[in-house]
Parts: sequence; structure tokens; C-alpha cells
Amino acid sequence: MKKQQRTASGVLWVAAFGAVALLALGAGSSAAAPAGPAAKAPVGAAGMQVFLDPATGKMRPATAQEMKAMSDRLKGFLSRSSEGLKAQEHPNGMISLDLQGGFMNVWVASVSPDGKVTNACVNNYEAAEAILSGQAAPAYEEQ
Amino acid sequence: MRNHTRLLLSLFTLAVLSLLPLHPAFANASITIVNMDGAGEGFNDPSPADPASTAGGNPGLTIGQQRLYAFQFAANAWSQLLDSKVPIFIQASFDPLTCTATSATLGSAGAIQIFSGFPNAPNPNVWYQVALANKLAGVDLAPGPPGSIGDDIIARFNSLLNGSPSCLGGRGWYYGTDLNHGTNIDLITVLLHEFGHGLGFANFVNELSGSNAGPPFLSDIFSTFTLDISNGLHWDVMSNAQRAASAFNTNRVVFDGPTVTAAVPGFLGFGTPGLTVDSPPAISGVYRVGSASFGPPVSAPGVTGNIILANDGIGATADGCQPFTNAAAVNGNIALVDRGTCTFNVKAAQAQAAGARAVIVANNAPGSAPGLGGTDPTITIPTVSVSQADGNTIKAQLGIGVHGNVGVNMSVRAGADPSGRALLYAPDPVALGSSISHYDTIAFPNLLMEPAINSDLTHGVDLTLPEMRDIGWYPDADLDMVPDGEDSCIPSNLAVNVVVGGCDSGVANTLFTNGCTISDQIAQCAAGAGNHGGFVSCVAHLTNDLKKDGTISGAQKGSIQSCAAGASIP
Repeated sequence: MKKQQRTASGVLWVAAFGAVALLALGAGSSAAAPAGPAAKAPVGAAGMQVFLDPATGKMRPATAQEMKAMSDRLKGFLSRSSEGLKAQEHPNGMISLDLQGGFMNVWVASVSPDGKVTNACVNNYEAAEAILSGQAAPAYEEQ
Repeated sequence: MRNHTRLLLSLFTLAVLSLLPLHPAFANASITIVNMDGAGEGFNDPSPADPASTAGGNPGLTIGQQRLYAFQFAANAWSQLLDSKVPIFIQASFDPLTCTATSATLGSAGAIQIFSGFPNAPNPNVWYQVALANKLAGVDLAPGPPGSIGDDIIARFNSLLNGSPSCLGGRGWYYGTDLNHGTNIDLITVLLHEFGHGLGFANFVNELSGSNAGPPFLSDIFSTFTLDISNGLHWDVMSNAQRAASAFNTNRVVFDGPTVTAAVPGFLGFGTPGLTVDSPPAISGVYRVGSASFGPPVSAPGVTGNIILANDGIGATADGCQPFTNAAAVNGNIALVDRGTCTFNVKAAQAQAAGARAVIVANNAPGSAPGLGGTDPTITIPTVSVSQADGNTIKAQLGIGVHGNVGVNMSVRAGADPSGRALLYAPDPVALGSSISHYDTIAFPNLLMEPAINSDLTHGVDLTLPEMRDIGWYPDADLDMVPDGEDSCIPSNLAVNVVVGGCDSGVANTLFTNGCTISDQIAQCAAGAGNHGGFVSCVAHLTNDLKKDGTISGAQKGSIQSCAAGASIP
């Protein structure tokens, strides 16, 4: 049971947070450690998702289920797909379209090791993921 | 079934809202925050208030109350600027969103529904955000109780951002109203921006594919003002492929609504860093440049000269990594080098040694002009970058000679194109996000609807309000649905029937296209009459004319005249 939870957690990390997840997992070495990343790393470690425990009111590492829920929620906000959208035609000729929670603009932010905060209002998931994972293009490149 | 008691404002909320700035006499969009949080969370979080936010003007006694106060503060700021007879409802909640010690989702917002073809739609074939559609229609097109799809905007913010080191390195929300947020995130600024999206500063296009929202796949009102100056087409008439290409046409996509363009001089200062090509005419214009961390910054009047492609005679000969073999041609001019092989400061040093007075680095891959990093205190000439596409455009003309200037173009406003239209953000690649539904980051002073929060922002809405005017949020102080600029009677008497001196004539109080009602015209009779006889005579003339043009019947004329005769006016 416990092992299954760790495995699921690792898969979700990779799915949701790409490169940063791999870093957090130590390129595979941490994944083989006795405890899964969510259970092992201290609260506040870089790359670790946190959650406010409704029972204790304190921050704790997010469970795989909570991480997936948050990731899915973000994807939903940023969906700009018309798939599943259904217009309603009204008797007066008017048409309405329920956006189903998509087509949102989302503010994301990250902190670099030197403490500088990058923030952006984005409208696609790839951009949000790039900033959240710290993979956004640096302001200056050397070559 | 939602618990409607959760949606009701608490006594505290009513109390603190009474402390918020009052609406001016004729400010008329009512914006209500619908609390979607459950007991003990989000807006109902009973944790003690943030002391810094309290000192910053937020009177909430708990975190939840401070959050609600900040939301309503931002909503009120917009409500004082927009007019609508249909109340606007914002579904709001604080929920756990993604957060790590180094990153966080701060929040999101947008319209719940979009409408087209509604009564009074200025353009019946495009989508409008529901709040704007309601305003233009004059009725609630999506009725429903608070907390339902009948609301207009949905806004969700991150409850985990509470100052814990576990989330964004200890940065939390600042709920104060005084902008003194320090290293925290100023919630009100973010809300003003996000509400702006929900009210109309957004398109409904998938910028990666260029497709519109649907079905039916209609364009939107924002896109009708989104102009690509490369091909002269607005987004609403483009094909999907054209829109997708335009989405990353950096520096060449503008919002060309007349109100925004007229307002640009009031908000954007002169001075755009760039490469200004003046010949050949086929490629003349201002090209976006990336700046360098070494050498002097570009300045006015900058460096003017011929643009000469570097040749170092080795390998990729234009990469400028070795001493130039065409130094004689480069000397005194602007060197153009390709990115790659060596660092940017090495290229600049080689160009400087060849006698160049400025350097342009052309990117060697798709994407925007990169920022040029590196250090070299010996470099004394300015260095900039251009995108690969712009570099290719210039190279294609080098055979006939290209002449230009690297510097700050003082004839072009920062954030506008040479014709004075506001630039929209069109990063390359599109995956950088934020495309089109924001003003360009080159704008200076910074604008609310740029894709990042800048520290110099106040709680104003700058060029965002003119954009709202262009898409249909026309001023309508008396809510008679006649724009103030065309309204001869402000405020109008919009009573259902014509009432004269307390006498209800039973006649419908018709509103005319000039913004005046029958009651307004009778009031004008009262104001201009020297005595009761004069008033009655004026009303008689008025009602005769109204009968003549078919507005009222003979019986209705008699009813109004009878009321006028019996009224104690003046």
C-alpha cells in the first residue's frame, strides 16, 4: 500500500512538473529511496508542493491526490480548447457559451535562488508550467 | 444546492464596505463579490488579521475579512469607472492552488459566459463577456441566483500564499490598500488586473492554433480591435493560421480602438529603444531589440550608420568570434553578427576592435530578441539583439545597403507603434504565454494590463479604461442606455409613467434617442416657465408635438395636460 502511494506520487510529479519534478526526485535516485518524495522532503523544500491541512490548519506536503487535483485545476483554468463547450441558442437569436471555467488568465510566480520574484499572467498551461518549474527563459543569456 | 447563507455578506462586511470610498453621484456599475468559500476557509478564514495589511488600511479583523475587503476594494475601483444598469457578480474564492517553496499559482479570473447576437449588440457576430453583454443589452442575459452560472466573472485565488516559507519562499498576500506591500504580493493590484480580463480585456482565441471559441466559432469584440500591422488585418477577419502567426509577431500587433489611441499620449512617454531602419524603404521601421548587460545602454540619439554583416573568415563567418576580415567596411558603422559559437561579449569585443560603433546580434533560432548577458568592462559601444526573423529581413537587403540607427527612438512612445497605437504583447514563441490579451511589456510607464506586476503600479487602471470604452463600456451616468456624449438629459427622469406634480398621467415615459424622456422635457418646461400659465402652455406645445409624431395618443395628450394644469408648478 505504502509503496503504491510512492509510485503514484512520483508519476504525478513528472506529469505535473516536468523537469523540476525530476530534480526533486534526484534524477531517479530519490525515487529509489525508502520514502517517496512527498513523505521524505521537509516542508518547504524547493519543488515540493504544499497543502494546508484542513484538519490541523498547518502546511504539510501535498499528497499525490492533492497534487493531481491542483494540477488538474490549473489545466482547467488555462484550457483554451473548445472541446466540450456547447452553445445555447436562445429564442431571440442570441447565443451564449458557457466557458466551463476555462479561458481564464492565471497569475503564476516563482522565486529564483537569489530571491528575485518572476511573475506573469499567462493564458496557456505550458507557460504556467515553465514559470512554476523555474524553466522560464532567463532575462539574459550568455551565448 | 448551495448554501445561500454563505453568500450573504456578514455584518462585518457590511460595516467595512461602508468605509470604502462612496460611488460618485453618477457611477453606476454595481459589482458584488459572491463568497463561494465554505465555513472556516478562504473569505471565512478566522485566523487573526495580517498586521501589516491592517496598518495599510484594511480594517478586516480576520484574514478572511481582509481578503473580502481587498476584493470589494478592487471591485469598487472598477464600479466607479463603468456604468451598467445590470449588477455584476464576481464568484470569488480562496482555494489551495499549486504552491512550492519556490513557485506558486497566485490566482485566476475570467468571464463565466460569453454572448453574441443579443439585443442591442453593436456587433452581433462576435462574442462579448457576459458583463459587457448585459450592459449593452440593458438586461441580465444570464439571470440566476448568486453563486450560479448567472454570475459574470469567476475569480479563484491561492489560500496557501500566507507567508509560510513552504509557499513562494514566505511571500504572502498583502491585503492593504496603500501599496506598501514590501516583498509580498499586492492583492488589490492583481485583482484590478484580473477583473480587467473578466470585464473585457481578453480575447477568446487559442493563440497556439489561432482558433476562436465556439461552436459557433465566432470572433470576439477584443479581436475586432486587434490589428496586425504587418498585413493590415484585424484578428476577427483572419484565418486561424493567420491569427496563430500574428500571435508571436512581436512589435507588430496593436490595439487600434480610437479611445485607446487617443489616450496613448496621456499614458506612454516618448522613447523606444530599438533598431530604426530608414532605408531601404521596403524594410524601414522600428525593430524590437534585446539589451545587453555589458557596454553602454542604448541612448538617444544613438548610433546611426550602415549595417554591415561581419566576416571573420572562419567557419560560420558571420558569427563575429574572430577578428573581422572586413574591418574596413565595418569601421565607423554598425556591425551585424550572428548568434552562436562564442559569447555575446566576445562578438562585441571583436566588432569594437574592427571599428564598429554599435553591434547587432541576430538570433540564430526562432524566438524573440534575447537579452545579451556577459561582462566586459572594456566594451564601450552599445550592443543589442534582434530576432532571427528580423535579422533575416535585414540580411536580405544588405546587397543594396541597409542604413539605420541603434538607439532610443524619441519619436516613438514606449509601448506604442510609430503611428501611436498601443502595442499588444506578442512574445515569440507563443508558449511564453500572456499573448495578445495584455499590453506590451515595453510600455513605459508600466501599465496595469502588462503581463507582469511592476512595482511602480498604483491602483489605477490607466490605458485599460480606454480599452473598455472601445469595446462597449460607454459612459452612461444616468443608465438610460444613451451614451453620455449623445445624451442631452443627464440625469434623466426614468420613471415608468409621466408624473407631473404628483399626478400620474398613466402615459408611458418614452425615452428618446437624445437621452431625454417626456418627463425630462416637462421638467424643462417647468424650469423655463415664468408662471403656471407659461408652464401649462409649454406642456401643451410639447404634448401636441408628441401627438403629431405619434409618440402619444390624443387621450394621453389630454391626460398629461390635465396633470400639468392641476400641478402647482411653478
